Amino acid sequence: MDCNGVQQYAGSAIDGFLARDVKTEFQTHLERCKPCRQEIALEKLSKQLVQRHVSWIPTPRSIQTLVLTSLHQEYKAAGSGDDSWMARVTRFSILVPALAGGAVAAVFFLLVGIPSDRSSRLSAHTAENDIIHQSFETFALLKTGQLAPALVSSAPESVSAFFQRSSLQFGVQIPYIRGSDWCGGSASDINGVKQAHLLYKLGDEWVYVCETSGDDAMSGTQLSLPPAAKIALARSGWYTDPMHPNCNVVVWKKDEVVCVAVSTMGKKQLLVLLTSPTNLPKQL
Amino acid sequence: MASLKQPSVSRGTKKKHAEFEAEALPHMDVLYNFALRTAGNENDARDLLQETYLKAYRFWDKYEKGTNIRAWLFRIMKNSYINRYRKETKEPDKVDYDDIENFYNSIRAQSTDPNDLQQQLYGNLLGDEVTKALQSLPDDFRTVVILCDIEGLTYEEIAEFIESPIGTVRSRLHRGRKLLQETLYEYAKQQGIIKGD
Repeated sequence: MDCNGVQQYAGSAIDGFLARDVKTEFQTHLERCKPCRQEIALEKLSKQLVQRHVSWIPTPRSIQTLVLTSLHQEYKAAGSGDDSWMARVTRFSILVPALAGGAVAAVFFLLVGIPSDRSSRLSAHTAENDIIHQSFETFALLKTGQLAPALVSSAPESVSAFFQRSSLQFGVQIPYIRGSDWCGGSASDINGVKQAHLLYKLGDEWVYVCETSGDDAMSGTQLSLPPAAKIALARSGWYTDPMHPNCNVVVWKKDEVVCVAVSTMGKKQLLVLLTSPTNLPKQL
Repeated sequence: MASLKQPSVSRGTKKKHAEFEAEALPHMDVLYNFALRTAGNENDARDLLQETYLKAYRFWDKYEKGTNIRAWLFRIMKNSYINRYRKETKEPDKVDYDDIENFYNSIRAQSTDPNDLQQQLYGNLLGDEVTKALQSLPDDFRTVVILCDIEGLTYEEIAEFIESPIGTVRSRLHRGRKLLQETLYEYAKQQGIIKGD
């Protein structure tokens, strides 16, 4: 081992992490090299001075109390007013009009036993008012049974009729998802922002679509989209998040309605369903 | 139309709160010490610690369960520190390594015995001077010195904290200690504790 090698392992030797296989070589060099000995002695002295003079101290009680109090306030705020978007959205079914008979069944269901999916890796869109973030969270609520569609039906016409009778003021798109067993729907109105929510079941897979009027999504004050998404939607009408290839989120804009789809399916499969010529979204 | 219920804390919120407290609070001392040595005074350390815990609480759903929570909290604190105190700094700290090498060469040239130096510095420098010297280190070096020499973390854990390879930890530690030594040597010379040229 030469002087450079000793430099490389100096810290490990001082901190007691020197691997056994280099220890002998390291010590042999030190015995015959005074400059290296001196340098290591100085580095060791530096550590000793810090340890002697800069003591590790426990967090003062007053600061512990301050942190705990802040957290408790945050907890109460999240629980009570929580009129965070999350709490309000869990109540959105109250706005859905009652539906009569026919093939439509209003169902409250628990989606238990669904394995964790790729979409849970979404981590970028953290703003509370980011539509992609909200869609992802709503999808998670649907999967865990904390949120249920107001109705489900195997007949797309029934879902269309449901939205026509709701108070939504934009033309809801009912994407035709080939192979779906059924489709569920709900409508929400949160602080004047109206949204349609659709849930599809295809065997073991799920697709959730959130729809918002283009005005609210693109230039409203209460919702937001990443700038890259706005640019992509303006250019091509489609957007997938390139920063998060494993997040199965697809956004598209059609007839002044912005739709966000989140799915347990891979993004490619989802895109095929949403974009194939025979399966393009149909407007009501 | 259904009526709105009196707001109450949901089961999910309660669970989140309990989980957060159980996982994150045990690391308060480590974070406080880092904040204290980084910010330099108790008031700023208190604010930094509070901000770190509040941010961590708000983004708790982004924490990947089973990963190193101490490293996650540390990174939140580091970012908060940078945002809070370094916003106006346009350029990262620069260190002139030639100066450090010159220091070591001068020590060698003077044939200063490290044992003598140790006795002189160890016995005469005050805690405030060491603290001040530590705070004068560039962020990257100070961070690893604090984590290793005060917090007692392993190189592996420091590497995880700063999201860099172990080689970078070794290198920063080595250079950070050298730089610290040089600063202390200068203090000691100014105060006549040791003689210099």
